Amino acid sequence: MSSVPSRDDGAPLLEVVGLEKRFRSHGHVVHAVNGVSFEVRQGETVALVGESGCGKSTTARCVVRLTDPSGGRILYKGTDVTRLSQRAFRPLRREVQMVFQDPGASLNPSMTIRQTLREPLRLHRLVDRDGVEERLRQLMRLVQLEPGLLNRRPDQLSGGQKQRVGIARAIASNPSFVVLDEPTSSLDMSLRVALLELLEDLQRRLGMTYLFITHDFSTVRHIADRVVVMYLGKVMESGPVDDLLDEPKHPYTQALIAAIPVPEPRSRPRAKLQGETPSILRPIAGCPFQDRCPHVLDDCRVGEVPLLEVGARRVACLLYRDGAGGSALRAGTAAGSEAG
Amino acid sequence: MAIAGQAADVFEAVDLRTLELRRSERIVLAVRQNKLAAAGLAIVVAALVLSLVVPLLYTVDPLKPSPDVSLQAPSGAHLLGTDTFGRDILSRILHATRLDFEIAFSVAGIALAVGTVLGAFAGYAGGIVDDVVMRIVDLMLSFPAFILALAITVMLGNRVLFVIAALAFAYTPYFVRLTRGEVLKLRDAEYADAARVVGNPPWRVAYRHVFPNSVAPAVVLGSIVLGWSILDASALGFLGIGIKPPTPEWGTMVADGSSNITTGQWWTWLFPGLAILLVVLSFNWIGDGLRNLLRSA
Amino acid sequence: MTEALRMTEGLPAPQLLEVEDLSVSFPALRGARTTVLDRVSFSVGRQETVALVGESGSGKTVTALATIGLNHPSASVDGGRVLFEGHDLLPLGEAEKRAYRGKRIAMIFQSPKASLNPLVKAGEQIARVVRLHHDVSERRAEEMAVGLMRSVGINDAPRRYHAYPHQLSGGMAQRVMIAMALSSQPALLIADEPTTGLDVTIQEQIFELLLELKDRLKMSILLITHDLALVAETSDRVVVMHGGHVVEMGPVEAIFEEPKHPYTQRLVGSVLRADRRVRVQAAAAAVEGVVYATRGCRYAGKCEHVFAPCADIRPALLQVGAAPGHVAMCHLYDPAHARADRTDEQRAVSG
Repeated sequence: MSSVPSRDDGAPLLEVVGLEKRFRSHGHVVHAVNGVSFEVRQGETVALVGESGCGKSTTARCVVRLTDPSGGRILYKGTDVTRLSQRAFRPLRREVQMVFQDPGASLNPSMTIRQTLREPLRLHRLVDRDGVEERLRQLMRLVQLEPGLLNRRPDQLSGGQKQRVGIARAIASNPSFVVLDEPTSSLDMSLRVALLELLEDLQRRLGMTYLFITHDFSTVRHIADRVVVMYLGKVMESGPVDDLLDEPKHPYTQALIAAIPVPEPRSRPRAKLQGETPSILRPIAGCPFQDRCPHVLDDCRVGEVPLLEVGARRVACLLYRDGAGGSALRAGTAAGSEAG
Repeated sequence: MAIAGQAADVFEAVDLRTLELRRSERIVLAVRQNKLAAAGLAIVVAALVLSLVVPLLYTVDPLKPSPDVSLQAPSGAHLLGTDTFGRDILSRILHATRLDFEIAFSVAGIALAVGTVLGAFAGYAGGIVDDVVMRIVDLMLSFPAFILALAITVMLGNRVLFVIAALAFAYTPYFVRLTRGEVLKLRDAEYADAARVVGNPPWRVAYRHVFPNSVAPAVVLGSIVLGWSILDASALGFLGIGIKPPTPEWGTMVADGSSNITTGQWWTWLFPGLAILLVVLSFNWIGDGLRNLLRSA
Repeated sequence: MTEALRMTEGLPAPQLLEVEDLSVSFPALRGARTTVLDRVSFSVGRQETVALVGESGSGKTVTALATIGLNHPSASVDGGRVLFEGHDLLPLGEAEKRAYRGKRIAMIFQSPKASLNPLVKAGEQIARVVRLHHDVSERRAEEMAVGLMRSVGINDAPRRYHAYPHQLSGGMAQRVMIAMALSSQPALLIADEPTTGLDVTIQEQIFELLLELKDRLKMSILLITHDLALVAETSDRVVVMHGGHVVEMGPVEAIFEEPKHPYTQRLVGSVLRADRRVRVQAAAAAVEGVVYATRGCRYAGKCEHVFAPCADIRPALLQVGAAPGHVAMCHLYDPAHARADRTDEQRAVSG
């Protein structure tokens, strides 16, 4: 039974509006998340992508309320849950779960797998005493692990096995919404694919919705329906996956995608983007990408750059205002690829 | 780092092997890798057993003075000789074992129990609670533990109970600080976050997840405090502030015997001194072993 | 052995680096030893980039460290030779090895910030290395260090000289490591996962830099990585390792377009792409955990084409496919074994 009544009017499952998260560090205020908006609809997989320091992990933590947002709103099934106290949020934890990045670190080393998996069952009183063991076995089977491993401790499992336990823990309460924070980043290639296939299979079977945090676009292409690209605490671009990856509109997205090595022999690396990501300690007015953008305009350095709608896409770039459609951008890109 | 990368290669390879070990093999392996600790443990257990069993067989009265056999060198009748009052040293050492172990385990036990809980609470709660607790701890730590215990014993008197209380009080701050450090680290550990997301209320995250994983260093310190408290009790006894005579206690025995250093009755101070040395060393070895065990876990 | 291997590879002799039948073991439990490298052989030619590819546990890092004698003290080299410019490095003493290490063969590691001394300024660390290899004054070494920093693309080098490692970003720290490594203009640079953990835009910059420097300094690169896309982008030849064996070797096109060994096939088949959705093989469901057979092929426990000789007989490294120097260690390609036993499926696989 859901603790938040669901609305059948097609409202998105999760809506994030103008989310902000500020930290204090060495006397400075760091805007880790600086006005992020996106939505996730029932049953889909939305990928939140960006490089280190973009704020994607912090956004994820705000969504599951591991940290409290400094501003903006988070709506789950249409209900504003931003200002809920930790105690009031707890019933929601049955429905909103998370899979963590480092399987070794996200499992309590002094607890057996059985104890770890039993916890959500007990906390939310999902099964009575007699049903616990059966449910545990069922969970293990769902993540393709032998039930014998229930008696082991994390240090007796391999990396891939630990990550599957993490997934089992997340689905134990039959959640509707799962946030996955780089779940395959620490795994070898062949394990990565197996795990992604498992996640997709579970999503179909259990009817879950995913928010998938990653820095790897090839994972995004494989598993996501829509993508949200972040940079320095803001959303640069968002839209359907194939559309966005084939024809990125924002200059940052274009540079990012151009930098991805393609497994074609004898392609040479050509860095489109020079310089480093600026430090988030020094807040800047205007577009966060202004110092590295090949198409920067004077207006980019002042005020807020709004998230403009371009077809099914949203792009935070002034090149697309007034429906300009980025013609200047296309001309610029053509010139760029001739020179490059 | 190079070695770490290499370790990953190697340990992936050795990985499966550890899983194949039976419990008995793991114990054997642990013993083999920590020989000193095993020896220490054996000595401590042997001492305890001896102290309980032997007096039943060897019924020489440790308290009764017999002036006619005073200061006799080790012989058939008195294996370790007699002291100034003609009391059998072996018997006294064995009886003292129980007392010294009682002091050691009480002090370490109390300091560990109180210190870890206080430290965990301060570390987890943070804020003003943490500040207040830590300032008190800092104050206590500015005195050497022994001096603190000395002052307290002088104030209260030298019954066993007061000696234990004084030493426990003096050692608690070390446990507080140690556990607080661990808790601060682990409060933000990924599995603590995972526990929160799963739906644990904050008290349960602290109690079930953070705290159990924070006590390992405290346990190691506890085993070392076992030894130190014996040394402290002995030192107090040496200064005449410790356990009241005629109750046998290793330290007071060394104190009594120290006046014989120049007169040549070496057995009056050597044997109780050796007892202290052996037991304290054993506790230290056990502590090392525990640290290795907990580090690899 | 060298002659035979070279002929198999179809490469000119002698190569810059020739690793021949290298075997390394570590102490394991119950007094036994675990063989982490089992007769590994490969070579790196002049001015070429060779990628050493494998997943964790394959032994690729141990191989690189064994080359310059930086293995953990408990490791024991049980056999083989490491010929650098014709000289065997393995039997050399520490002092003799140091004549090569850092001078003729340099190495950069993963996690550059962890590999730099946190207490010494970045530029100063480069200057120290310069003084190690060149007999110059402190001031001159400082100048050379700043010059090196510029040549690895560090802007504002004189100011960055005085930065401590924790003040640098990951990409910047890796450039510092590269500057240190290249200060003596080595003939061979070993790069152990140099960009794992760095952003992809930074990775692109670093490799653009490395390949440019390789051309300029006429250097060879031995790249250790698990990222196949990166291998395709940067390498000339690929050496695929699994379980302490070299299972396949060859030119990069051959490995990607016509992988022959079942493990390589699975690896290449599980590479996800950003430019299009990839259909991954159902058999990409990986089997984890390593079970080492003492004889025979070490992939036998996980191979879907395993048949009679695999568990007992170590496969020979044989020429496979059309490209020169494309070899694989698999019974499917050995006419001596793979006669009547082969199934139609196996025949299809090996072509």
